[in-house]
Amino acid sequence: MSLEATDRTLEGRAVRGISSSVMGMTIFIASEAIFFGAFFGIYWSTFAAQSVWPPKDIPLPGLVVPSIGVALLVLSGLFMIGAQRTLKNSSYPRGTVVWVAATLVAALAFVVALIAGYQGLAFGIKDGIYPSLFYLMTAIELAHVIGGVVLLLLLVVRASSGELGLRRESAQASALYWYFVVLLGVGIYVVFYPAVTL
Amino acid sequence: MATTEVRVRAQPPRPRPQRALDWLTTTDHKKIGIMYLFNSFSFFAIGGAMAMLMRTQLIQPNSMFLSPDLYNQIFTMHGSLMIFLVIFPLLAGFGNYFVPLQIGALDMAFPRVNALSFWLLPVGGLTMVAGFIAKGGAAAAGWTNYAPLSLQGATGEDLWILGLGIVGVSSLLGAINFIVTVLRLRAPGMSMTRLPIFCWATLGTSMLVVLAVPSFTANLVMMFTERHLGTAFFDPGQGGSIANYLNTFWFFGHPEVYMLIMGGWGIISEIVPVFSGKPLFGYRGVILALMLVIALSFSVWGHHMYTTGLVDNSFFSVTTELISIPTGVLFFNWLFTMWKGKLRLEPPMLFAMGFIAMFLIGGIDGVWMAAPAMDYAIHDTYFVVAHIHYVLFGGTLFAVMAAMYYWFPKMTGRFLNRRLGYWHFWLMFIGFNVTFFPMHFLGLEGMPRRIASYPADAGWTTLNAVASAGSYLIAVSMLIAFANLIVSLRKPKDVPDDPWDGYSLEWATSSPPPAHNFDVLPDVRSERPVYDLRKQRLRGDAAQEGGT
Repeated sequence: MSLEATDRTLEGRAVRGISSSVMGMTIFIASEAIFFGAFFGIYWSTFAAQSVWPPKDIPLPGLVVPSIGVALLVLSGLFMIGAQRTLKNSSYPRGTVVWVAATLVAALAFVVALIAGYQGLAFGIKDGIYPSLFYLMTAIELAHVIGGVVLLLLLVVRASSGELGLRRESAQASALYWYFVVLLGVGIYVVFYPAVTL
Repeated sequence: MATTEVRVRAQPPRPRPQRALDWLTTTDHKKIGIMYLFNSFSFFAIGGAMAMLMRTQLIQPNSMFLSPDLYNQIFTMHGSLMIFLVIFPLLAGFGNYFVPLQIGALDMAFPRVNALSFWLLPVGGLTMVAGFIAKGGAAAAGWTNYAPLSLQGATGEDLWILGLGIVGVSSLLGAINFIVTVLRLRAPGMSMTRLPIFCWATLGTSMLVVLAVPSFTANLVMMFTERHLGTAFFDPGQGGSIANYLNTFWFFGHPEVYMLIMGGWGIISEIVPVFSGKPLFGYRGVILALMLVIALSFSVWGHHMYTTGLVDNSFFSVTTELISIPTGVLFFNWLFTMWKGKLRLEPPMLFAMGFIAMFLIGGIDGVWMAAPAMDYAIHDTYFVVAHIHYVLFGGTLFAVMAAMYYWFPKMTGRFLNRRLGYWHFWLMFIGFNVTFFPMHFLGLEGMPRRIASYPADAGWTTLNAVASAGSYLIAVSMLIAFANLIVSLRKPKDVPDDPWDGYSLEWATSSPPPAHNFDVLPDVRSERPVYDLRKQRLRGDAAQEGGT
């Protein structure tokens, strides 16, 4: 009888609707959006309160390196779409490893570009509200990219061991997280570089 | 008698040393739920002892029992522990144990994440408490931890930030787990409109956690960088603003209040129908009210900032008064459930009725304070202290005690002692009111909260002495509750599956339930599956008798 109970609750449900991991990741991303929303909200309200933005004495950051970085990040998102396609189409996703590896390389290149971008900056974190927002938001984005890299590495391990052929939900969840990180990177890029320098 | 009776106890062989390890490594939602409760009640003892110290300090004017500095640390840690490590995790503990049972599931959706979210709790809590042994003492800026006061704190302040960060991760992981569990693991037939209200309340609480806690996490991160890296978020001189603190804190802080009370509403909505012998009045109306409260709770945070001049007081006043409508609806649901019911005044029902009365007072206080004109007069006075305790102590803690008496037999296979239960209820009820009702008057007379001492000619002496006397009565009631726990746990396990004539699925399995929860799941055809089952059996018996 206990077996029947199992069948009627857990397994019976699992075949219908979206998987638990994808749902859990979606909810997690919603909470992350609120977390970043707090910083974007502070950015916006400060921007609205100041007559000159960024404040006059702040030397503006260069546009070239961060633009290359964000392009790489978007590219990594596109690779991730490729990885998801291979998961959908083939019964044994061999190509997934290649796509995820490409995503990883692009992501790491973004990390390098972001850190390289810090080198040329003429302001420190203590120099007022704009630098505070700049450093904190980009640093938290960096932390999220690194978290994503760990998830992607796990995905590579799973894909190469063949586990991904059996259970794909975790891959879908990692992909969702990665898209979120990419979108976030683009949003942060827009408010800190083109929006203030152009 | 010549012979000596030798009783051999039948005990299954059990590898003793394994038992502790079982608990430490378990992913069973029932064991994790019990650990949640144990952890919360332990912190409750610490926070309660702090409350006793504070009331002892305030028993007379110009008291030097505690130094002002220590008093600040104690009221800060009392508030922080009670909110983040007692009330919330108590509800999460009952949620852990009973949500999977009530929806007919085997376990939570992510059992290992569940274990993680439990274990983060004591780590976070002890990190906060560790401030007391740090240089400069524990955090001392109040549970709201306002900048710039909190920027001046010593190491204890950092431990507070770190500890709450850990607790925040724990509650976020727990909330995601609850949402996925309720949405995906329900038994066949258990549609969302047959879901027990306690599960709805846990779902609602979890939605609040997901949408509100991250704002507080952002607040903690900024507070940390402000203290150590010299950022300028809260520094008006550098382009920042104190509004950045207030908005990120209260955007979390007000939904937080609903996180702390909604589980209580769920518990009461389970207990009142069972002990009235009637279905819950307006089941769908209750769900609608919960959802409205959730939606509105994100639009009321400004009422904590009326006196700052930073927010539009009329807007936040209207939204705050609006939220009292769905809350008021709940009262009528409970009252009409009891109306013409066959009331059984067992301890769970007494605590539930105590909840309704006390939460009503707390709610009406809230309606008063939602009016900015009133709020200007009583802002930061003892009136606020009275209000928060009528909501969280008179409200949630009474609900938690009701749940304890109601579900203890299911969790342990043993009843809590009824006579001690009555003593516990009446002493707690009287003690609570003697302690906190006078605080309304203290507030109206202008006594500010969070002061370590007051002058003799302020006219606050008598009421403070009364409040302190009441607090000792509460302490006695808690000792009785503890004694009840010990006495009851020593009795044999003899509770049947369904000792209260319950309605929801947890009463369809043994007490305590087996590791796999259910041997057989009854069909779910209404929001009261176990009631249906009982009626079906009665009908079956009657038919058999008629046949023979």
